[in-house]
Amino acid sequence: MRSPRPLDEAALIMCARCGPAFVLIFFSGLIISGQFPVISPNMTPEQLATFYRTDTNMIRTGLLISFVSSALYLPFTAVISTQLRRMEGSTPILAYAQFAGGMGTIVALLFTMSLLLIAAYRPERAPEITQMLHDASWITNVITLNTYCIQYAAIARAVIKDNEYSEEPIFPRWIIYINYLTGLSFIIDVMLAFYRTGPFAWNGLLALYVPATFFGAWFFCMAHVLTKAIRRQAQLEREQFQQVAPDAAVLLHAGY
Amino acid sequence: MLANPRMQVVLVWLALVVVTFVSWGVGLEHGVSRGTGPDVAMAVVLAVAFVKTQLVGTFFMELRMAPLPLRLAFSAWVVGVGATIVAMYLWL
Amino acid sequence: MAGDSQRLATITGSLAATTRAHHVPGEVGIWIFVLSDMLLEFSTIFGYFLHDRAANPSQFAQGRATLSQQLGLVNTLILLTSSMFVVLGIQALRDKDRSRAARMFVWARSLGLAFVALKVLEYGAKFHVGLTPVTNSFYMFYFVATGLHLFHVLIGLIVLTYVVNGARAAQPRPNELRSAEVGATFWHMVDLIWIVLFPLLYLVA
Repeated sequence: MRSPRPLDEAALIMCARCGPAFVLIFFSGLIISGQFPVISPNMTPEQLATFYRTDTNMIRTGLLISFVSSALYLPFTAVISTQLRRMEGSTPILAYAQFAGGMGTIVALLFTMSLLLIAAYRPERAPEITQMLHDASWITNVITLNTYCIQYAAIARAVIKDNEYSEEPIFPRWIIYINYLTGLSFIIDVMLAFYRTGPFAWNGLLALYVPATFFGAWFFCMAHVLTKAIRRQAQLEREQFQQVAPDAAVLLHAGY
Repeated sequence: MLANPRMQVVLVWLALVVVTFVSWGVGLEHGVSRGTGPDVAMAVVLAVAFVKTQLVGTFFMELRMAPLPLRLAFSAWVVGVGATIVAMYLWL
Repeated sequence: MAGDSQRLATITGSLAATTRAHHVPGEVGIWIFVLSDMLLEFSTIFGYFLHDRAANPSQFAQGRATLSQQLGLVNTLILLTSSMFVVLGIQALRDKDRSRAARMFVWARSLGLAFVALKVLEYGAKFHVGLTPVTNSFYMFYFVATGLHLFHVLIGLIVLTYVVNGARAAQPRPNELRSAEVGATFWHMVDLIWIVLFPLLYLVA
C-alpha cells in the first residue's frame, strides 16, 4: 500500500508568494507603459492618441508585463481558499465564495489589460476609438470592486469564526480588519462613473490611489499570514505522521 | 459624584453639546455676513471641532487607559489633520 | 446596608475599570481600521474640499447657504448623544448589568436611525430642487462626503444591532466585552467624522 502523500508545502508557499509578486510586477508594467500615474479621463481624444503614438513599443512592453503577470492572481486566490477551507466545517461556503470572487476579479484584470494592448496595437486609428478603448479599460479596472469585496468579506467571516471556535486559529484576528479596510476603501469607486476630474474620477486620489494603496498592502498582509499558516499546517501534519503508525496515518489522511 | 464614571460621561457629553451650540452660533453669524474671505472666528470653530474629536477619543473611546503608542497615534491625527485643515482654511 | 455596599462595589468596580492602564479598547485591529479610515479616507476628503474651495470661493459659499445649519446641528447632537449611550452601554457590560447595557445600546441605535432618517430627508430636499452630486464641485463634496459617512452609519447600525442582540442573549457570547468595545470604537469614529464634517460643510464653506 502506498504511503499517504504529504502536503505539497512548496507549492502552497509558491502560490502565497504569487500575491506580492503580482502586485510588484503588475504595477511595474503599468509604470513602464506610462499608464501609472494614471492618465486623466479629462484628456481630449487627440491628446490621448498622441500618448499612444509616442514610444508605442515601450507602452506595449509595459502592458504585456502587466497582462501576463495578472494571471498570478489565480494561484493566490486558490491558496487563500485552501486555508479558508481548513477553517470551515463540512460545507466550506466561504472558501468557494472567495474563490468565485477571485475568478470574477481575474476576468476584469485580463480583459482590461488586453483592451489597453488593443489601443496600443494601432495607435494611428481615430482618436475617439482609442479613447473608447482606454475608457473601457480603466473604468472597468477601477470599478470592479464588487468581486474583490466578496473575497474580502469571505475571508473576514472565516477568520472571525475560526478565532471563535478554534484553539489554534489559522489566521490572526488583525487580518480581519485589513480585509474590511481594503473593501471599504473601494466603496467610493462607484462614484467614478460620474466624474472626469477631481478626487472621485478614476485617476483621482480617493477613487484610485487610496484604494490602490490598500489593495497592494492587502497582498503583502495576506501573503504573510498565509505563509505562517502553511508552515504551521505542514508542521502539524509532520507531527501527526510521526505519532502514529504508517497504516493508521492513511485513516487520518482520509478524514483530514 | 464626579468620581462616578457614569456622571463623568454625562459631563463630557454636556461639554461637547455646549461647545457644539456655541460653534453653530458663531457659524450662523459669521458665515452669512462675512462673505468669502478667511475668517478667524471660523478658523477657531474648525480648530474647536478637532478639540472635540480629542475629547471623544479620550473620554468616549477610552484612550485614557490605552497604551501610549495608541494615544499618541490618535492625538497625532487630531493635531496633524487639525492643523492642516485650519491652515488650509486660512491660507489657501 | 447590604445594598449600599453593593452599590459601592459597583462604583469602585467601574472606577477600577476606567483607571486600568494599557488596555486597548476592543483590539488593535479595529484601531488600525479606524485610524486608517480617518486618515486616508476622510482626511483626504477634508483637505481636497478646502483645496477646491479656495479655487471656487463664491460657488462654495453659495452651496453652503443652501444647507440647513439647523439640521446639521441636530445631526451633530444626535450622534454625540448616541455616542454617550454607547459609552454607558459599555460601562453597563463591565458592571455585568447586561439588561441595562442592552437598553443603552438600543438608545444609541435609535438615535443612529434618526440620523439616517434626517439624512434621507435632507438629500430628498436637495434632489427635489435639482441639486445632485454632479451639480458642481461643492455638491460633489457635500454628497460624497456625507454619503460615505452615511454608509459608515449604516454599517454602524448593523454593528450596534449585533451588540444589542449579544447583550439581550441569555448567555453572554465569548469575548462579549471585547466585541462590544470593537463596535463602540467604530461607532465613536462615525461620531468623530461628523464632528468635523458639520463645521466644514455647514458652517465654514
